[in-house]
Amino acid sequence: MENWRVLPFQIFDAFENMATDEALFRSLQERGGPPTLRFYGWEKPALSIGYFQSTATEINLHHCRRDGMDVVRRPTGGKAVLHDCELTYAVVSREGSPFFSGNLVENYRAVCSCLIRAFAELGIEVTMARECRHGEERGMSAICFAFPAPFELLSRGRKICGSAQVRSRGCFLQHGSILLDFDAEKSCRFILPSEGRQAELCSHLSEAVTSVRGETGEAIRPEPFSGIVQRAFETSWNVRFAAKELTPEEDALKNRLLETKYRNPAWNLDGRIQGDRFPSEPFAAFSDNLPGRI
Amino acid sequence: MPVFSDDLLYSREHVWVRVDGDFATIGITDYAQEKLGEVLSVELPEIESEIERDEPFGTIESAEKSVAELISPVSGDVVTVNEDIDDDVGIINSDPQDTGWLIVVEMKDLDELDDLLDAKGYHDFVLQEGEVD
Repeated sequence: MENWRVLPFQIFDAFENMATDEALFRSLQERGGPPTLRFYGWEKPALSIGYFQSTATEINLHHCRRDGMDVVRRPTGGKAVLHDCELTYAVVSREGSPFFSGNLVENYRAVCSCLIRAFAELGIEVTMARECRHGEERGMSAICFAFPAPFELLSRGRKICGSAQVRSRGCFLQHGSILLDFDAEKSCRFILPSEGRQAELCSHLSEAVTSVRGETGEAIRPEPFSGIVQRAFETSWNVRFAAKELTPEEDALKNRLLETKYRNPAWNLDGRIQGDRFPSEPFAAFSDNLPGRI
Repeated sequence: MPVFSDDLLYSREHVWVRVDGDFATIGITDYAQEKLGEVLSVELPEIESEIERDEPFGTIESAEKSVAELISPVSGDVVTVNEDIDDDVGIINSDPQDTGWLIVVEMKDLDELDDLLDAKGYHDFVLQEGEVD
């Protein structure tokens, strides 16, 4: 039976959530350690955007500022997600472990099969999408939940969970949003173009997206649902979870990422740090300074 | 079935190198592009920037919402970036080991090439990942 670490459900702001996920990912690359399952929530509604997304052309920053919405750029791919009524999970592991191959779709599938089991505990029948994401027209494709990728989770054909990955040096981070409730109008308020086509986008999202509440008619809080998801992972993979915190090294790295990257508007809005076109370069310096680097 | 060209060297991070004197042309392997799926976006270093062996020099996003970091097989200065990718990122999928090259680097230490694999060595390496015949 493989040992995993679980970081039980905690609530942080948008920046700390992303810094924590990336610190777990970088630390595993540099220092090794057990695979980790993390659950978290958001202090207030926040918008996360994909690594390559353009805030200038896809995100209505005026509305974000007006509503006090934090905007954070993820280390992972995909499109914008409004984190509001959801449970967010992260899995950090090496590829080539008993559950994960080097094939990214298979890795998605391995994680999503556990989530399907968790949804079943709530009486929600969930399947994996088979078709690719479409709708590349700006404003429709800018929202993660607008179109499913092939492995993503659907209930009655409507997306209920969206996930994204980053991979490097034989490790990967996959994190995703499990929708406990969903407000289409609120989600598209922060996406460009906000004029003219917003009603169309809102209508599409209403049809294309569902949530736990939408399927069961009942609200569930994220923390108790995280327990259900954890048990689903344990049952599906026959692994043992040990509840722990960040190591001191991970915590230090998280704080450095917060300071230099995730609380830095240059990263969140423009995808740049210290004027570099390629923003990941500073991590080389982080890595070199970690004790025990292999 | 991915292509393993005999005239290239390969890293275990699935990057190929074509050597011409002190210069190394770098791209992702055919095997890597198959694993990634449809490439949507690429981020590469600026010309004249310095890259280091075993450190990220760029990123690729695929249609499966996955960002993959590109790990440099050599250290040196970037002298050319493939501008054709700006016009058609699809060449990374359609012709990854030729016109879909990414950057050219003036190498600092040619001894770093000794750690790279030839076509057979790389084929054997990916066989261990269990995804090619």
